[in-house]
Amino acid sequence: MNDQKTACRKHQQHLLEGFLAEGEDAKLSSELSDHLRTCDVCRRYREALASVTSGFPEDTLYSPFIREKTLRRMTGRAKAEGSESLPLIILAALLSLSISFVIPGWLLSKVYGYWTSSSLLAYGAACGTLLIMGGLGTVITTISLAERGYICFNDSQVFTAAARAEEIQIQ
Amino acid sequence: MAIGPATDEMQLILELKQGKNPAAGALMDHYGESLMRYLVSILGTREAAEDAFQESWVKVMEKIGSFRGDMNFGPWLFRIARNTAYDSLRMRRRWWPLDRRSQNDPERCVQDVADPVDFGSQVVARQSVRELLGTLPPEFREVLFLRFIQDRSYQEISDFCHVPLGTIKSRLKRGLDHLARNLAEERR
Repeated sequence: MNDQKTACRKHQQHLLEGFLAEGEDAKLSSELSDHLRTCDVCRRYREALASVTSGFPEDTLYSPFIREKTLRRMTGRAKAEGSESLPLIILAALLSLSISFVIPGWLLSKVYGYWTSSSLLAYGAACGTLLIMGGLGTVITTISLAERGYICFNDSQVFTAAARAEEIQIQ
Repeated sequence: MAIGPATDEMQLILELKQGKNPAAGALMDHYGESLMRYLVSILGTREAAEDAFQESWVKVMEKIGSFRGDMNFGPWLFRIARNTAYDSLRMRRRWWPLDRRSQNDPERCVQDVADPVDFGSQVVARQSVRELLGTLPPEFREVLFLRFIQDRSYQEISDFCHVPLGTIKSRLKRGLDHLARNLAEERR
């Protein structure tokens, strides 16, 4: 049984090399031809080799719809790169900053105002508290996501995985 | 608008450098189909290929100023598309590690990555080849596509992919062997 498998494997390697060298019209040696007449496995292997390229799509993939979408995206990107949207971006950044930092800081400084008469000190303490809380929140969230495997920091992990994928013995 | 001789292409590239959209459309019509097929071969799905296709053309628009007239537009475009596709794969692997796991797990690949372009009316045999193609790493699919669909020589593939000739041959051999053995097994 094992001898048969070894022989088949050898013939399959010849078929593969012939296919790679000459395509489907590869000439077969008489030994290989004899083997193919009696071996179903190798015959199927040979037929499978010839049909491998049929797995690539034959239907039309490019369409006017994709063309239009791409042209729109190209035009959109060109516009976005212009300076027209700059004031809007600054406004959005200021709004975001005030929502996340200035307003909570002001509210927190009111709380600290109970312990100190200096509004500068109260606001400074409020900002410090926000920074610490925000930093802690970010660290905890990052650790939590990393533990669940949703993010990874080390590029080498990615490339190692890619290299492993390439090197795996395809069985 | 069809592109005729190379001079027409140069004219379109000049117009593209001036930001004229019709020139982009004409070049897209000329290279669109082969570029989409190439991207599907790397990314495995039509949706991902469409996204990379759009992103590639945006990059073409951004970089066209640096395009020199002494080289061909086609290889330059395909190189941009290739980088875009592999960037997209890296992003997917980084942010969605499940994809990365599926790369090494043929069973998952068949469910998640395979079925590159399912129009719902494919022949069963072709579908199984397609599913098996989906189980291969993208680098293997790409090489198979360049060799058997685009009919490029080993040396051309090696130059294009910036990968040694031996690696190209090894990828082809291993990829084909994997597909043929599994197909033969399925047809038993």
